[in-house]
Amino acid sequence: MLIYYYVEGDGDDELFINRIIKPLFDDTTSFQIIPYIGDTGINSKLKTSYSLKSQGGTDVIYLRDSDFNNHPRSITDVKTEVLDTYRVEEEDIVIVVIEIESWYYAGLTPATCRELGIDIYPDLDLVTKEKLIECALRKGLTKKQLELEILDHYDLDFAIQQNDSFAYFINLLQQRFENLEIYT
Amino acid sequence: MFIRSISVQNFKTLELDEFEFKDYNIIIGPNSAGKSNLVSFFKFIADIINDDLESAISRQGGVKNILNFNQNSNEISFKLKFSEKIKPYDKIAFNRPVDVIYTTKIRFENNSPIILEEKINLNFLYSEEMNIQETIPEEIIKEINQKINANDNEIYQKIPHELMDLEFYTITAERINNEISITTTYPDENDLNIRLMNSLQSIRTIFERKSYKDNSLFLSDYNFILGKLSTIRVFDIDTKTIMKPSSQKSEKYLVPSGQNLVNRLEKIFYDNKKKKDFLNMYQSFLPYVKGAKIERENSNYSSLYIDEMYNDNPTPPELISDGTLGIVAIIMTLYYEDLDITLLEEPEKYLHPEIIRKLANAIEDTSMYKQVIITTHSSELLKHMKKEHVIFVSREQNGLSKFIYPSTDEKVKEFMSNDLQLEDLFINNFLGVI
Repeated sequence: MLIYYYVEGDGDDELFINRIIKPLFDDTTSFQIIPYIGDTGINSKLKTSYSLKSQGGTDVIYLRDSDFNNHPRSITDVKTEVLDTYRVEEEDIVIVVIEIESWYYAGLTPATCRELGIDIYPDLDLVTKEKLIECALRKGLTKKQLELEILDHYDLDFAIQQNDSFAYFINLLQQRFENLEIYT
Repeated sequence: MFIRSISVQNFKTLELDEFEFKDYNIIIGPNSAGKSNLVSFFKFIADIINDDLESAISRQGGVKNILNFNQNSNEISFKLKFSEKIKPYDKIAFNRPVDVIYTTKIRFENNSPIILEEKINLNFLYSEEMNIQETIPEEIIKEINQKINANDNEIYQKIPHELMDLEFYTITAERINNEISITTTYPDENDLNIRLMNSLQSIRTIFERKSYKDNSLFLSDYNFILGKLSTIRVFDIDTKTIMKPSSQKSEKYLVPSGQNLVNRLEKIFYDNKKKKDFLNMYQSFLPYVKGAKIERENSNYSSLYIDEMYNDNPTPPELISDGTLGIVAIIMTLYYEDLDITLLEEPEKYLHPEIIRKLANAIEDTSMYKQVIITTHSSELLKHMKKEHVIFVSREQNGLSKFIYPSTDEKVKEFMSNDLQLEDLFINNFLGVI
C-alpha cells in the first residue's frame, strides 16, 4: 500500500507523519508526503494520485489546517473551500483544528509537560504555531528542536483522547487500513 | 548580535551604502555578479574579528585581491551595524552592548595596511530596577520587536523608556590622525553597579592599549566585547574532506571546509542525550538514517559511520553519499555551532529537491537565534524561501555589483502578479534586467 499524504508544507506536518503515523503501519505500507502550499501543479498530482487509487494499492489523505484563529468559520466551510480549489475527494480531507501544533501538544501528558518544562494548555485545540514558538523560546530551543523533543515523549493514546481532530484522523486511518497497529 | 547593515567602498566589486540584512537571507545571482565578493567581504570581516587584519588580508590572497582593480584608489572603507535580536524570555546581559556601530578607512601602501580612521560605538542598556541577566518583561519585548521590524537599527532608540526604568550608556573609541580617543556617556555613574563598572572599564582598557603604530583594529576585539569565543564564521563545506579520517587535533569551531566535522561530532556523541537529539534532527532530514557512530581508525584519526536502513552494517565514510554527509555538516553549522552569524556557501550542493525544502525550513527555524546568510544558484531553494528574504545580485555596466531585494521592486511585483514566481524570473534571467 502506498499512501499519498498531501500536507500544507512547512515541515511540521511531514515531521509529525513520519515520526508518529508512519510507525503505526507495517513494512508493507509506504508513504509519500506531498506539500501543496505554493505548488501550482498540485491538482495534476492529485489527479495522478486518484488515478493510481482507482487501480488499487494506493490511497490519498489530504491534511488542512482549519486556521480558525485567523478566519473564523466552520469545518464544513473549510472543506468546501478545499473542494472549490483542489481536486480532492471529500472523504479524504482531514481538517486539523487549528494547526498541526495542537496535535503535537496533544501527545504530552501533564507529567511529561512538567518533566520538559512545557506549559499545560487547558484547551489543546487552541494551541497554535505561535504558542509552540513561545514555548521553544522559553526553553532556549528552536521550534523544530522542541517538536523533536515532544515527539520523543509522545503518548499516542493520550493524544487521541485529548484532541478531537487528531482522534478523527486516527479513526479514519483505522477504518481504511487493516494493518494499523494502535492500542487504545 | 546580528549584522543589520553594511556599507563598503572599493572592496572588490562592492560599493554598498547601508545595505540591510534580515534574520536570514538567501543571495542569488548569475555567475560573476558578485556573490562571491560579498562572501569574501564577510570572510574578511570574520577573519579580522576572529584573528586580525594581517591574517584577514593574507587569507584574501593579499592586497591585490581586496581592492577593486577598476579603481585607482588604494583605500577601502566600511561601516558595519550590529544589534541584538531581542526575543521573548531573553535575558539581556546588561554588561554587554546591545548595539555596535563600527566604521573604518584603511589605506594600503607597499601592500601594508595603514589605518586612517576607525570608530566603534557601543551602546549598552542599563536599568536600576533590574539585575544583570534579568529577563525583560514580555510587553516590552513586543514593543522592541515591533520597532526592530520597522528596520530601525539602533536598539537604544527603540526601547520604550517610559515602560521601565531603562537607560543607556555608550562607549565610543575613535582613531583619527594616529590619535585614539575614548568617550563614555553614563546616565549617572553613581547608579552603575560594580560588575557593570568592571565590564565598562575592561572594554575601555583594551581600547586605550591600542597603539597607532600597530594595525590592531578595534574590530578585532569584537568577540571579547561580546564575551564570546566567536561570533561570525563563513562555511564552504567540502564533503570530500569530511570523508577523510579526521585528526583528533580539534578546534573549538568547525573550520570553513568542515574538515574537523568528525571531531566536532565526536564531542556531541560523548553525551547520549545530545547524540540522540542530533540523530533525531538528522532523521528528520533523512528518514532512512538509523544511526551514526564515530570510530577511532587509530590513535590519531577518527571516522564517521552512518547506519542506513538499506544496509545491515554501518556505511563507512568512503561509501557515504555526498548528500548524506552534507546534511551532517548543515545540521552542525545551523544547530550546533555557537555563532551569532553563519554564512553558508551553496549549502544545497548534492541535495535532492525534497531535502532542499527541509534545508529552507531549517534556515528559517534557526534564525530565531542565529543570523543565517547563504549564497546559492539553486532555484529549488529559492522556491522554498520567503520572498522578502531574497537578495538578488547583478553586475552593472561599470563593473560594480548591484544588490537588491526583488520583493520590493515594482517590476518584480508586476511579474509576480501575473502568476510568475521569483524562481521563474531567476531561471529565465528576468531579474538581471530589472
